[in-house]
Amino acid sequence: MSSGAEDGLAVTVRDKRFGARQVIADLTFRAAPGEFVALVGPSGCGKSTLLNILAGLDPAFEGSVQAPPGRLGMVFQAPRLLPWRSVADNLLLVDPPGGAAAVEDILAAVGLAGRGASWPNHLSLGMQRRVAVARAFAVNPAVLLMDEPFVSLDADLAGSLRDLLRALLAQRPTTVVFVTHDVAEARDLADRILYLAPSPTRVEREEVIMNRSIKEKQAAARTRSG
Amino acid sequence: MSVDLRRVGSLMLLLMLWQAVAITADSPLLPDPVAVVARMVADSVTGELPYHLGATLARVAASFVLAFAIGAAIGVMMGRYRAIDRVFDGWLIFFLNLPALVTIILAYVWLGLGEVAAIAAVAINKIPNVAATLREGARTLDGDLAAVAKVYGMGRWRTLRHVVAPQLVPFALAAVRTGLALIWKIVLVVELLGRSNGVGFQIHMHFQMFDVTGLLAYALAFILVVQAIELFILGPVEARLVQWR
Repeated sequence: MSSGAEDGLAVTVRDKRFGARQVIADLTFRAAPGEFVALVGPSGCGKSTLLNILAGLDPAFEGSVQAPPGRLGMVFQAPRLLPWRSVADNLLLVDPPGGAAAVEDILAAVGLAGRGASWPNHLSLGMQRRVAVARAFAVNPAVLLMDEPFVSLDADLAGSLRDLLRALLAQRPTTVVFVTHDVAEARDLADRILYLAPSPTRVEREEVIMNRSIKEKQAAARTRSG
Repeated sequence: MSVDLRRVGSLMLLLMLWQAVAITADSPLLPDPVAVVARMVADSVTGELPYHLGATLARVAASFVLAFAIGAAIGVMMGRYRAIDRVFDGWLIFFLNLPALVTIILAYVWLGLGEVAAIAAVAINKIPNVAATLREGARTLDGDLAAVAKVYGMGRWRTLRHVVAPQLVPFALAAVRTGLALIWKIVLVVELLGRSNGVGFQIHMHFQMFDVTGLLAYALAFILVVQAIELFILGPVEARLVQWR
């Protein structure tokens, strides 16, 4: 992916309504190429609605979403794997560039080498989430959308999945929009945090986190000492 | 494939009961199982039984495919689109409750005593059944998985094949099961009323001759074929389709 500023993600949602009720108003943000932006807000503040708009799942809004050229990867709150297809087939079905070899690579990268033939519901929930993350990275996404992907996991498991995500992004950088209600999680991962206020959803304030190279060094230090 | 011993035992009990009643009755109107099986073998050797069984099977297959294709399309559309469901729900109830006999007679009256009328009559009887079952399936389709397919640009065909169809499998299998049971029986009535071959026609002939042995021989051959389809086709297909559970 080239790194021109015009290749970033530019989002403007002037007006989004469900019936007469306005749920998003004048919400604007940009994400530079390779930037990790976290959207933080209380549950039910329209974060998922916003993400559905970004994903192109909900075209009924006033505004625009300009995404860099390339494909979209998305990790949902639930893993949303096809239970009747094997792990490898779940990845192959999204048409990853590089085909079966790429699928094996990404499965190895998320720590599931050799599990391609398993049925998704024979894996633990943590493993299913790894598969969902692998599926998103398998398409070499220009933009990666994540909707509270590590919610309802115990702290250790969520932490190890965050480490996995960091490692994957170091290898395969991409622009990330990460939705969460957990400020600590956002600070742990993001370059920049946008705090959202509810009804209607809008950006309340912005927090720039230290840059990622420092965070990576810290994470590496943690891994060495742990 | 495991053979259930209790099932074999219960079938043996039925045969023994039949044998006992036949011996007690001692009448040509109630032949014992041995006579019926002997008749099945004899009519198979002459080729008569396979010919009529084949004719019936062909009608079952044709009307089954027709009913399933049309019924599934209608059912899925009704399950997916509320407007279509509202318009055709009344029709569905009407046709679900229309007696098979009425459809058959009307088909023969309107289309003539031919093969087209026979197969159409059977299919019309089964279509509402398939439609109602698959409508339930289409109503429960998972919107979350559809969103995954859309986000990852899976395309229409791939989505249908890998995301939608597997969710409809249990409903389709239910429709196939009840469909076979229903269609078999309707085909016999259709043959009895207006065809000159098939198991239904033969049963009609034997009825006129009071040939109960022949009648039972055809009925038994028929049951055996249905069981064979269940055991060697439907069972393995189902096992394969739901192995991920």
